[in-house]
Amino acid sequence: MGKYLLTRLLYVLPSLLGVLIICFFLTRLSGDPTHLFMPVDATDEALAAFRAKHGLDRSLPEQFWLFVYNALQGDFGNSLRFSVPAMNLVAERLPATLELAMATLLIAVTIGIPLGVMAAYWRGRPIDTGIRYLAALGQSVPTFYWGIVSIIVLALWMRLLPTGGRDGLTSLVLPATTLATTMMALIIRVTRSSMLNVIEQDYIRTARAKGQTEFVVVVRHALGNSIIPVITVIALQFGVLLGGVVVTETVFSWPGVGRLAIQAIYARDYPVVQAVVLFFAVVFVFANLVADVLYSFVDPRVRLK
Amino acid sequence: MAETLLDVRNLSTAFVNGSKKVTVVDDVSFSVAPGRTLAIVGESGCGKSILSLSMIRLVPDTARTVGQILMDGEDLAAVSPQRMRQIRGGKIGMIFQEPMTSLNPIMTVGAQLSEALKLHVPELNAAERHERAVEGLRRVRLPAPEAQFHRYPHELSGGMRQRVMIAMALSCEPELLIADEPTTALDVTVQAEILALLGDLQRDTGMAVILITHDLGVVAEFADEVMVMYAGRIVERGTVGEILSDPQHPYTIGLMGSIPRFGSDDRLLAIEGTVPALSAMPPGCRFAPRCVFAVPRCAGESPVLREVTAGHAVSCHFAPLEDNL
Repeated sequence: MGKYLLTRLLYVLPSLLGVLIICFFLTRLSGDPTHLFMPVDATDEALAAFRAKHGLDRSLPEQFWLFVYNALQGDFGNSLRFSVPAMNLVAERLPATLELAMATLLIAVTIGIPLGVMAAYWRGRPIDTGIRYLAALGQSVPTFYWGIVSIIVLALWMRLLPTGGRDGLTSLVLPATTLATTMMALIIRVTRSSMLNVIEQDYIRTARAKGQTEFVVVVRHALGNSIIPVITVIALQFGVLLGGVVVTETVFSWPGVGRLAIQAIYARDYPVVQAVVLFFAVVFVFANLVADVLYSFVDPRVRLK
Repeated sequence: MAETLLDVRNLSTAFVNGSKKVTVVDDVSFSVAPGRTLAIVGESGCGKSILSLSMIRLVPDTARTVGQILMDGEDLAAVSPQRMRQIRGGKIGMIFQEPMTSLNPIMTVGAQLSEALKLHVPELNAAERHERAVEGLRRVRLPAPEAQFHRYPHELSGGMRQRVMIAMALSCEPELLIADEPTTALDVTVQAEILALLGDLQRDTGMAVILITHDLGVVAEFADEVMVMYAGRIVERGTVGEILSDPQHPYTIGLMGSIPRFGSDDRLLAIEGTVPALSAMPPGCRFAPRCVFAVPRCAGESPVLREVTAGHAVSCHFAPLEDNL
């Protein structure tokens, strides 16, 4: 197990290098940010000084090398806007985003998996049809739309929940449920189809022939064998979740990394953009690493010798 | 016949799809005595597997079963689902055709054995359960039973998995074992070993066995009584000696003719034609379209199962054939 983990960790390195490369060149594509930060009437000397200060006067390969060298030490340079280390800004916003992401994951999993199981177990019955409609709705309506509608209905009209901000559990409900809908819908669909396949298997019949109760047959024997695709989807959806974080945080004025990213992009504050993108990429890569490790816990056939 | 363990009366199972109804098992009656082996023989699709699943009420949702399944005076067709769960795996053990896929891949052999024990022998503690599970694995002659306990199904061969299935089905000392093609998926040598094992276990425990098979070699070796099914109905029933040496139904005779015999140069006889579709059964004898002896009466009038000698029943207008043809 330890060795498996170590090998799997090594596989992470090329992915991260790729992320560094893409992240560096994408931000450079938008051009020289010097004019954005300097007054219109700035002298050539002042512009040159700004470029020298931020290393913009060097060649691209040189800049890249410096970028990687510093990034590996967690240094993404100072924010052009706030003149504080970019990573500090990300770290500051991190708890809010983690809170939102975890709440979202919790909602999506605890509602999505049981609904998927129920839909599969009662296939073709009204309850299955209902759950499938729900999943189709959740998947087809965009996150920002859910967000705005829920703000209007629940916050403005019914005044049940705050419209935004981060102030206790009540303010978490709307952004988390909004963000959870897409993921939950997908989890429902994947759980359902995976369960439908497993429930036909011979070992399910064996479990029943043993005299096992339907609940245990479904949860231990069927769900246990259906869960791998669900884990895969959750890990892959982590990317979509992070994208959703950006939108949702903006809609609900949630002071997290996603909103920081949007603000940094508008301001062409590329050290911050790089730090956020790299942070998201690292989270995504590690989410998939966690999924791989989970597989081997769930299914003994995955365990490497 | 002295004692009866299981008495199945007029059992029918039909699949219902909207207004369409397809009868797969049609008015089947038979009984099994303790310690005896009944073989149910027939080709694929004759309803023998659905019959066995009907007995423990594990047919798919779309199937409807009517009739009586009397075991120790209890009608299994009428008991509550809770009671039925106590019987499944408790009084009736079942093993299936596909050892490769019949075990849960994510649970150890030991966990799957213990599961059955936990359900039917709840008074055991964890240590006793473990001991009994390992004992069960030893009884089916698995090498190193203690080590097998912690293994996963994918680490075992097909024969070993079938032994685990047998150990599991027998772990709670059932009075009846239903074995649905237990050796079909295995190598010939492994087949012989598994059959010998089943025979020994039956002698040791005194359980009755219902053996579902299409292999007449297995029948000859293992069965006491034989029931031949064709298209959902019983066409002939009798002791293994009667069926094998004096088959009376044209279908049974055809089955006998299709077995290769060592040292014989005779051509194998095939039964012409195919089994009619279940949804389009002829109104009369279901075998009539393929029967070499068929007369117009056969197509219109369904023969009843009647005894030609004591204990040997045949469903044919002409039985016994020697006298009537």
